[in-house]
Amino acid sequence: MKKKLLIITCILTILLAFTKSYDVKGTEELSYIIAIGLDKSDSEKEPLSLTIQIAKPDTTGETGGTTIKTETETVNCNSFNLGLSMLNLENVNELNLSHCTAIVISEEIAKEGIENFINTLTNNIEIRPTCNMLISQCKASELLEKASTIEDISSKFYSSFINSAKITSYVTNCQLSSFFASLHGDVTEPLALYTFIKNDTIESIGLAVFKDYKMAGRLSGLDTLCYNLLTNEFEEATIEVYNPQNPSIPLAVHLSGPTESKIKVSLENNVLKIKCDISVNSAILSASKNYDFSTENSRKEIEAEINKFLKESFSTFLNKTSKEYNSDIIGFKGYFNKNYLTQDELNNYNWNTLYPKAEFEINVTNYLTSGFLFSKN
Amino acid sequence: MEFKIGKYQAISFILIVMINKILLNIPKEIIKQSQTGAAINVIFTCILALLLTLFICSLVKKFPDEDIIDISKFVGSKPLQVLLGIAYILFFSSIIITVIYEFTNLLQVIYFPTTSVYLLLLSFIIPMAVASKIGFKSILKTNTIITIFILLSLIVIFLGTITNLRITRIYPILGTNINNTFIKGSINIFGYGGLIYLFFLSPLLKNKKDFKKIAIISILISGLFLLFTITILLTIFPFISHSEEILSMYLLTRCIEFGEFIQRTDAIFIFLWIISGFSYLSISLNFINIIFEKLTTCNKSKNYSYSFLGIFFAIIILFKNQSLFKFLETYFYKYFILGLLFISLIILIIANKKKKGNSI
Repeated sequence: MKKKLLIITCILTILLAFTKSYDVKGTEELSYIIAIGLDKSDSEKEPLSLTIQIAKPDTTGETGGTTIKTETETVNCNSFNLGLSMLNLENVNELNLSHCTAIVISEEIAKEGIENFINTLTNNIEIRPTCNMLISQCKASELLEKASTIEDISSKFYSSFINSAKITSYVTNCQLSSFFASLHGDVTEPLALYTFIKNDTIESIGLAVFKDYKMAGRLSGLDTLCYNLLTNEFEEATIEVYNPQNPSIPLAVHLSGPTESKIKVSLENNVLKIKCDISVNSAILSASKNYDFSTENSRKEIEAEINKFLKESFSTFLNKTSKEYNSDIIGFKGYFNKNYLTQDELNNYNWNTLYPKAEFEINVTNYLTSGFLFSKN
Repeated sequence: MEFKIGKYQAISFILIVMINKILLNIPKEIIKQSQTGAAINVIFTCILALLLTLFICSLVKKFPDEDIIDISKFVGSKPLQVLLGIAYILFFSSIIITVIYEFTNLLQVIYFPTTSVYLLLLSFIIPMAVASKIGFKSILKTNTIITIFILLSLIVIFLGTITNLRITRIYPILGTNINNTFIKGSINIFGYGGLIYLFFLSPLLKNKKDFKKIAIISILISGLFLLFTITILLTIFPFISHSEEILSMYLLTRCIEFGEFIQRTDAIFIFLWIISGFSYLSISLNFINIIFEKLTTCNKSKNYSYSFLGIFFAIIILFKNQSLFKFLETYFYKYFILGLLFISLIILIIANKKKKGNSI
C-alpha cells in the first residue's frame, strides 16, 4: 500500500510539473535572432531604430538539404522591447533571442550615449552574457544587411572576429557581461569591437572606447595589440619594424608568448605614476635578398628596434586613452586601489581627476628567439 | 531517535545547509555588508565560527544523547522547552518558506513564465511530503550523495568562471573600513547557518566522539566554499555589492562556457540546486517534526508534517509581496539565527553548570 501510494504521488508530481508542457513552443514555431542592430532613427517620435537579423531555414537549395539563410528586419520604436513586440507582430513565428551572438550599435548612437537600452538588453533572460558587443562605423542596419549577404550562418560569423584576435591581436574579447560590469562600479571602462564595411565584406579592427555610457573614441589595431599585452590577453601578432640591414624594406616580426605584464601604480606629489613592464618573445619573419640575423650584434640591434617600436606604440596608446579619451580601459584604477587598505583611505583621492594627468613609464623587454628556418641568406 | 548516522552523513547534513545558504544569496548579503572586504571578512568569521564550534563541542559533551530542546527542558522545565521549541519551529519554517519561494521564483522567471505559481509550489511541497513519509533516515542517506554532486557542481562553477575574473576588483582588500569589515562585519557569522544544526546533531550520531571532528570539518569546508564563492562573485561582478538580482550564483552559471561544445549549462546547475533544495527542505521539515513531537504528546508527529506543509503553501500564496520574503531571507534570518545561537549557548552554559552542581 505504502509503495503504491508513493508511486502514485511521484507520477502526480511529474504530471503536475509538466502540465504546461503542451503549450511550450517548439523550435519550428520560433524565429531565432542572431544579431541585434541599434541605430538612431529619423523619426522624432520613435528615436530608436531596431534591426534584427533572423536565421531562417532554406529548403530550396539545389543540394536538397536544409541550409540556413539570414534576413534582416528594421523597425522604428521608442524602446528595445517595444521594437521587438512590433517585429513579433510582423513575424509568423515568435522571435527568440537565445541564439543572439552580437549586439551592433552604430557609432552615431554610441557617441550620444547608450544608457537607454544597454541595461534593458542585459536584463533580458534570453540574451546570453557571452553575446559580442560591436560598434559599427556605418548604420547597424547596413552592417547586418551586409552580413546577411556574405554569410550563410552569421552567428558563427560574429564569433569569428574574436577567433581572429588569437592570431592578430587587433581585436579583443568584448562580451555583454564585461561591458555591463564595466558600466557599474568596475575598475575599468567599457569596450566594444569596432566594425565597418570594407569593399564587399565586414572588417573588425580596433576597439571602441567608452567613458561611462558614451563612446569616447576609437583605438587602432596596434593600440588593441598594446591593450592585449597590458591585460595579458595577448597570444600572438605580427608587427613591422625598421630594418637596420635594409632600411627600404620593413622587417616583419612575430610576437608571441609573453610573460605576465607587470603594472604598478603609485602617487608621487599628487601625480599618478604608472609603471608598465612588458616582455614578449619575438621571431623574425622577413627574408629579404641578403640578410644576416645570425650574429649577436644584429640580434641585439633588432631587439632594440622592436623595443623602441613597442615603447612608442604603448606611449601613444596610453596617452590617447588617458589624456584624450579620459577612459581607463586597462583597469589601472584596480592597481591604484591595491595601495590602500580601505575605501575610506581611498576616498581622499579622486581617480577621475588624477588619471588624465598620469605619467607613464614603459619598459619593454623582448627575447629574439629565432629566425625560423634560416637566419642567414 | 530510533536511528543513528555516521560521520559522512553528518558532515553532508551540515554541508547541505551551508550549500543552500551559499546558493540562496548569503554571499551577496555578506558582500553588501563588507563590500570588497568580504573575502577577508569570511576568513575572519570562519575563525569566529570555528571558535564557536569548539565552544559548542565542549558544552555538548556532557549531553551526548540530548539535543537543545531536551537540554532546555533540563534547564527551565517545560515552559522554556516550549518557548525554545516554538522559536526553532519558526526558524525552520522561515527557512522552508523562503527556500521554496526563491526556487519557485527562479523557475518561473527563467523557465516557466506562463506556468501557474501553484503548480510550481506543489512541485516542491509534494516531494517534501513524500520524503517526510519515507523518513528522516532515507533523507539523510540520500543527502550524502546529493552533497557530493552539489560540491562538485560548485567546483565546476569556480573553474568555469575563472577566466572571467579580474583580481584587482577585490581591492581595497579591507572594504569600506576596519569597523565594517571586522566589528560590524562579525555579524556575518550568520552565514554559517550550519552552527544552529550542531545543537541537534549529537543525539543523531552513532559515535558521539566524532562530534567535534564532524563539526570542525563541516565548518571548515563551508568556510572554504563561502570564501571561493565570495571571491569569484567580487572579482567577476563589480556591481554585486549594490545590485539586486534574482540569484547571484545563477548569473555565474550563465557565464560558463567550455569551448564550443559545452555552452548554456545553467539548466544543469539549476536542476542540481533544486535537488539540493529538496534535501535541505526535507531536513528542515523533519526537524520541525522532531521538535513538535517533543513539545507535544504526539507519537507519530511526521503525520503532522502535511499540516505544516499546507500552512507553508498557504503563507506563500497569501503573501505574494516579494519584499516580505526578502525581509525573511535577509534581516529576519540574519538576526533570528544570531538570537537563537546566543540563547542556545546560554541554555547550554546553564545546563553545564546545573549538571556540574547536580554531580557535586
